[in-house]
Amino acid sequence: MKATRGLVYSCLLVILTLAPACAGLVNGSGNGNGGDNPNDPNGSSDRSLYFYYGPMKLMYGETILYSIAAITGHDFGSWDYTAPDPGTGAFANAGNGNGSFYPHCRLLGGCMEHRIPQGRTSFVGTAYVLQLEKAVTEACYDRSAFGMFPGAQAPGTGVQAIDVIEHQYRAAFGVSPSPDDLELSIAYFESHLQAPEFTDVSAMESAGRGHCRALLTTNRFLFY
Amino acid sequence: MKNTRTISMIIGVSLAAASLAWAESDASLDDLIRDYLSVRGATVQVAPPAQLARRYAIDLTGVVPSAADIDATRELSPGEMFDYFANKPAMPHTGGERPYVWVNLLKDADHFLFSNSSQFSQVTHIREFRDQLRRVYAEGWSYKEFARWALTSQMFLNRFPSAADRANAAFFLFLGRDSFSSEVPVGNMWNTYALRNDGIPASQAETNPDYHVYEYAPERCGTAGVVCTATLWSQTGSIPAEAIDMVLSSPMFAEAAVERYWQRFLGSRLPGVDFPEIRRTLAVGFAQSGYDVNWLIRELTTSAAYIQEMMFR
Repeated sequence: MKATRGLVYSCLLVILTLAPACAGLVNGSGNGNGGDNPNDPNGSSDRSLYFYYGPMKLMYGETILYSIAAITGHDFGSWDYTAPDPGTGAFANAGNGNGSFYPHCRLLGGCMEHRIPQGRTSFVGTAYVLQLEKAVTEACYDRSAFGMFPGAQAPGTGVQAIDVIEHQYRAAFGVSPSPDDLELSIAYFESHLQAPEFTDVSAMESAGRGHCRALLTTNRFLFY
Repeated sequence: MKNTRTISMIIGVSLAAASLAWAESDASLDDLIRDYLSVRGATVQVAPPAQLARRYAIDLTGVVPSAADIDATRELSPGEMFDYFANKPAMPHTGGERPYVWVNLLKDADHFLFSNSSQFSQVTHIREFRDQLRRVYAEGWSYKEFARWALTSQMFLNRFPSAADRANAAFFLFLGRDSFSSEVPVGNMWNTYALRNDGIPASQAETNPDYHVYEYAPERCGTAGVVCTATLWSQTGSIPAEAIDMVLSSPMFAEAAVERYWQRFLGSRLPGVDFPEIRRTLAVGFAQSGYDVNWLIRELTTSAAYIQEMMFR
């Protein structure tokens, strides 16, 4: 059980390049479960009981994008569900959306209108991971968006790494980081502040943007 | 029965009596779940408030909760938390409208109804469907009223021009049949239907007088005791009311809806033949509510199954 829990938390922190393996764990079939499958009603442990765990679901594409937008302050544009029919050409070729919402949403499980005929993606595949990475990078690295920083503004000199970490955890997951989470995040900030990815902004902002990118590509963010 | 082109449907009318028995009992959904766990030495462990708030926010509004939402709901019960998020506007591109939930809940139906077809415009009909969903929600239609509209709509008739396709689609959409193609042996379908009802083996279901057998089997039309759906599901004009009533009056109508919504909110299949009480209790409640989708969503999302802590413990 300990090993399983360890893997779970590892998955939470690993960016989605490893998501398929973690998704397997979510489904009870991944490494670390050792046949202790909570979805198997004939299983031998209490983990196999119905209702022993609450639901765990993958967010829909539009839910991911609007949530990322709400957290970061980045504007992906939109897909106006309530708009009148814009015409065949616009709908079929580019959607009635603007910005990058439509192309992102198309591969993140499908928006509610487009791709309905093909159903929705229900697993985290390669295209999904790459598209999520792209969307999150676009949002977290948007220099005009500061939702991931305390006060929704560029971090001033008084802002400490721990403030940014606390803010981002609460925005993304609704909770403060655990001691383990905090330790890892602080280590990330310390490392990143020494060699910022971006030099045209403060080192704290650069680190915060990278940290934002990591949090929003975790299974912990994707699944709820 | 070995003719794989024969399409046979059974509707378990015996379930009506069985369901009433559950309706008359005092067992609630939560009673069933808690009893199931307790006899196995387990208990309901309610998720931490922040986890539960995130679940409600995403399911009901389509967006993660803000830190302010988390703080505001920290002391609330699951029911109160449901009310808090149910009263918040839905995601921006729905114009804050709740039909978003309807669209997603019906995605399985969408997949079938809006599958690629040369006779079917994805643009026109998806928007027609969307606009209808908005009306359904705004005017407070019941799920049964919505189903009746869907089966009588020109969209449905155009999409499924043949009697067999119409029968198949109607059964798939509203009676919860998993899938069907003409290559599937009929025996499998019998099994599917039998299992989805009382766990009665196919061989017994076929001869069980409590089950009403509907046939789409032109070669068997006129056979005593067989209602020939080739007659009911006409290929010209609209679908006769009798055929639609056949679907809407089936006990499986409520059960199929319950199963679909369960999957949407609980993220897993509704326990089947080894735990039919859950499905029946919910289906009876849903029917008694007047097929009120809002009632069903609230019932599911305040249940002991929904509020349990997730696997990431």
